[in-house]
Amino acid sequence: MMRSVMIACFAVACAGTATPATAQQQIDEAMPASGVVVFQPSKAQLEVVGWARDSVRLVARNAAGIVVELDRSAGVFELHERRAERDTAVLASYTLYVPATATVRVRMQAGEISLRNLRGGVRAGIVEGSVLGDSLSGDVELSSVAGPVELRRSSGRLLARSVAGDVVMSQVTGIVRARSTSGDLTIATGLAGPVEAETYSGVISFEGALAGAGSSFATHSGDIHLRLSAAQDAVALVTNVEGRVTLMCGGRAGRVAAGQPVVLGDGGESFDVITFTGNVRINCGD
Amino acid sequence: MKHPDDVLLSAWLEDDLDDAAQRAWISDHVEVCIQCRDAVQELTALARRAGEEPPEWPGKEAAWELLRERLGGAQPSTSPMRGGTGRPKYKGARWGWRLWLPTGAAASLAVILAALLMRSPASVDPSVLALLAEDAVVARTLESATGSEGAAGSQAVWSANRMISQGVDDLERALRARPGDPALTMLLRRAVEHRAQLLTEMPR
Repeated sequence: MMRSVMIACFAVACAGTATPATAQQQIDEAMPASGVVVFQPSKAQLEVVGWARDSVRLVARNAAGIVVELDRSAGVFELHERRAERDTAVLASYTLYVPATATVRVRMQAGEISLRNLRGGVRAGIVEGSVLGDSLSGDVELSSVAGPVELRRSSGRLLARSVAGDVVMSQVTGIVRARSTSGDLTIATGLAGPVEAETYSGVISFEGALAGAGSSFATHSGDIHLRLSAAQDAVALVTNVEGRVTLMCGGRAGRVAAGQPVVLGDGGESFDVITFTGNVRINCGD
Repeated sequence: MKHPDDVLLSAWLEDDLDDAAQRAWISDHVEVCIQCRDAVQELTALARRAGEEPPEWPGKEAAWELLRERLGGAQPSTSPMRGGTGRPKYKGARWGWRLWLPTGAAASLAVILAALLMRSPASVDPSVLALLAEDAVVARTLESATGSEGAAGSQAVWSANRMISQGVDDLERALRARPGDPALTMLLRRAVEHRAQLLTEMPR
């Protein structure tokens, strides 16, 4: 049975118990370490931090006139933000502490989302604004429509995507996917694979080592720059209709004919490099 | 002079454009542009004949079959375009985007595919035609749901849609010059899939 608890009631909404609008509001609630936390404020600077406690804490600043309620049901802790019409433009500031192993689902219209130290899986999306993830693991999906997305020091099944923004993934391992339409993709990995990077008009820059089969790097018009480990054994299958393909690997340097497999090191699993009009450059530790 | 393309014209003909300014622009434009008036007449005739006419060449039937197969799941109970509540929650599945297509999308395919068939040589791969028709529906859905003004999210998707349209046009032209080229076909397929993924990004 769902239980609804009002965990925060801020100044304007609670006449008579008025608190200065800039004062910090804080609420705490016990929750299991394996629970799910859902929060979908409309416009905020939201920081989600995993901590070593079996509880959730929401700290709100600049949230006058905004009410946050908690619905708790079967391990799912859903925070609901309610705003009066006149407060829709207020940029609230929230810090949400959750058990580090909890699963987090966050969705916002505008603002900034940052998340760190979460190991139970994350899905965070925003329409207008940025998303930053640091030290995340498990199934991780970060997205923005009109802003940049960055993911650092993370592992697992990772997806970072944007429509108009750049995507940066650094020190990531596991299954790595980056996607944008007009933004650039910059990816630096340890041993990772498969890696899928696709942007329509942006540039792809990848640095790292590919493991296993199934990696691909694709653009329509953007260039693709791959800086692979000197020890990389693989075969690059390059589809390039109008651009140039340049290879600098193990003493080999020069242009490569499109459609011709490029053997790196001792060969091995293949990966795809696909572009219509972009140029492709492959370096191997050089 | 800027002209509406076949997709916009067919949407206007079917009274399926949400944007009042766009409707007014096309109405005014068709009044003064002989070329577009002819196109409207052709589209009207094609729409009338699309369901009745026997295949003119074998590829046409194959294209229809492929199209029906590919869009088989594109029938949500209510339209996300009309403020209905039928928009599904996020689908991680690669093809989940089809659920974002508006209810009336499949109905427009007759006009769109007919227009594509009209201007394509018989040598064009039926699967490419089906792909282009499907893509036209997605492009139109995105065009109707977003705009060049207003919220940043809407603008971002609108710009992305326009950019992909340009790229698809380039690929289509290249494919007319080199029918069946596997690299171009693969690039076209990727562009179409990329655009389709934008359906999941349309601002709520």
